Amino acid sequence: MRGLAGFAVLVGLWDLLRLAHVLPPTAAPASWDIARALADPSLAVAAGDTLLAWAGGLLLAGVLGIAAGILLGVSRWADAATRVVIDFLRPIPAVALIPVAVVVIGLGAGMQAVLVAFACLWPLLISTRFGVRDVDPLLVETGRVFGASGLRLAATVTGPAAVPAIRTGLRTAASLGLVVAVATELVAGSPGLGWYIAQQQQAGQIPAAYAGIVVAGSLGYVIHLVFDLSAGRAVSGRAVSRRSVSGRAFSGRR
Amino acid sequence: MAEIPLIRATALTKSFTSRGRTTRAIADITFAQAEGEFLGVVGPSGCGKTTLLRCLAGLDHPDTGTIEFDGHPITGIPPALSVVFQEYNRSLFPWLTTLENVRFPLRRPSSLGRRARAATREQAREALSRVGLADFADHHPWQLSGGMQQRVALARAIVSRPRLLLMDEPFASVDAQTRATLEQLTITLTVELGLTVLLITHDIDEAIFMSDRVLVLAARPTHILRELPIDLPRPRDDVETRALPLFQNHRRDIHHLLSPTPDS
Ligand SMILES: Nc1ncnc2c1ncn2[C@@H]1O[C@H](COP(=O)(O)OP(=O)(O)OP(=O)(O)O)[C@@H](O)[C@H]1O
Ligand SMILES: [Mg+2]
Repeated sequence: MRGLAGFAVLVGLWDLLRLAHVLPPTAAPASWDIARALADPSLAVAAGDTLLAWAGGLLLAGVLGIAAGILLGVSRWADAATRVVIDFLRPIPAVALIPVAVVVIGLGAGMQAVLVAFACLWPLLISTRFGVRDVDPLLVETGRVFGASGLRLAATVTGPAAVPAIRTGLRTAASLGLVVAVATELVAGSPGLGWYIAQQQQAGQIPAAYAGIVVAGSLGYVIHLVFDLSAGRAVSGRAVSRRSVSGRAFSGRR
Repeated sequence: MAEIPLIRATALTKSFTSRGRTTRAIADITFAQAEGEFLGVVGPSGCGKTTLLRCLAGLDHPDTGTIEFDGHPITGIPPALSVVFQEYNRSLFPWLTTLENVRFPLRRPSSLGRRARAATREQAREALSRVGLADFADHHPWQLSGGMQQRVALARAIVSRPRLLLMDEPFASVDAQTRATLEQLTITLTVELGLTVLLITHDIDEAIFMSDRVLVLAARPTHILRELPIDLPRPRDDVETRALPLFQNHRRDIHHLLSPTPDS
C-alpha cells in the first residue's frame, strides 16, 4: 500500500514539474499520455520478446553456471585450472560483446540469449562455487557418519547447504540479465523493449518511448519481487546463508 | 559372555602438521570397550579428545595403531556407529525439519517405497518423543533452544539403534539445569535401548556420574593416565549418587591425576 502511494506521488511530481516547465513538456509527456501509450499491443509483443531472451539466457546460464560452479567448488584441481581464464573473462561487460556477437551469431533472439547468458553466468558460477566450497565440513561429516556418501551425500547435504548461496547468485543474475537483454535490443536492434523504445523515440512518439521504459522498469521490479520472494519463503537455514559468498576475494560483479 | 570387545584401540598415535609445525595430539592410546558398557573419557581441554573420537568414528586416520570394531579393523566409518558432535548446533541440517533431521540416518540409498518411508517417519517420531520433542517435529533446528537442539542431535544419533554411540562433550554448552536433565535423559535412553556409549567430557563429575568406567587422559600429547572402574550403584540419582563417599573419592582421585602438581 505504502509502495503504491509512493508511486502515485512520483507520478504527481512528474506532472507538476512538467506543468511548471521545469521539465520540458516536449521531452516529458503527460503521465496520462504515457498511460495511454501503454495500451499499444506491439508494446506487449516487445515485452514478450525481451522476456523470452531473458529467460532463455538465464536458463542457459543457470544450467552451465551451477554445474560448473559445483565442479569448481568440489574440485580444487578444476578450480586452479580455470581460475585465470575466469578472472580474465569475467570483467568483460556483456554489452561490449554485442558487435562481435552480431557478426558471429547474427541478429536475433539466439544472439541475445547468448549475451544474457554470458552476463548471468558469472554471478551464478561464482556464488555456486563459493556456496559449495563453504559448506560447513561438519555438516558433510555428519552426513557421512549417518550413512550418506557420493552422489547421495551431494544431493542430501552439499547441495542443500549451498542453496542459499546459489539463490543469491540467481537473484543477481536475474536482474542483470534483464539489463543486458534490453541493452542488446537498444544497440543491435533485435526485437524487444529496447528496440521498441529506440524506434518510438526516432519516430517522435515520445509517450510511447516512455511507455516502453515504464514496462521495462515494471518487468525488472516483478523479476526482483519473484526472486526475492522465493528466497524469503525457502527456510534454508540462516546458519548456512550467513556463511555465503559476500565479501570474498572473488565476489560478484555487475 | 562376549570376549571380543565392541571397540578396541591399540597403540594409537596422531599428530597434525600445518605450515611446517607439528602438533602431537595423541601420544599413545590403548583401550577396549565391551558391549553395553558406558565408558567415560575425561581429559583437560585441548588434550586430543575430539581427535580420538574422530579416529574411532573413522573420520580421521591415526598415524599408527589400529582400531577394531567388533573384532574387525575399521575401514572407513563403521555403519553401526553414530555420533553426537561437540558443536551440535552446527551438525544439525538447517534446511530440514526436526523430524527430517532425525530421519536422516534411516534414509538409505535404495529408493524406498511409500510404506517403508512411512515406517521410517514413524521411527523418527518415536525417537523424537523419547527425547521429549514430539511436539516440535515440524520446527527447524534454528527455531529451537540449545538444549532442544541437543535433544534432536541425540534423537538422530539413536534412531537407527547404533551399536556404539560416541558423544563429544555433548552437554558442554548448556546451562547446569539443562545439563543435569540431559545427563539423566542419556542414562535413561542407554538403559532402555541397551546402548553402548563412549562419552567424552572435560567434566569430571559428569564422567563419574554417568560411566561404568572412566579413562583419564593426560594433557597433549595425550595418553591414558588411569582406567578407573566406577562401581556406583545404578540407577543413579542426581542428588543421592553425587553425595556418596565413593563418588567423592573418585572425584578426588581424578582431580589429583589431572592437577598440574599431583601429590602422589
Ligand atoms: N585438523 C587439525 N589440524 C591441526 N591441528 C589440529 C587439528 N585438529 C586438532 N588439532 C590439534 O590437536 C590438539 C587436540 O585437539 P582436540 O580437538 O582433539 O582437543 P580436545 O581435547 O577435543 O579439546 P576440547 O576440550 O577443547 O574440545 C589441539 O592442540 C589442536 O590444535
Ligand atoms: Mg573437543
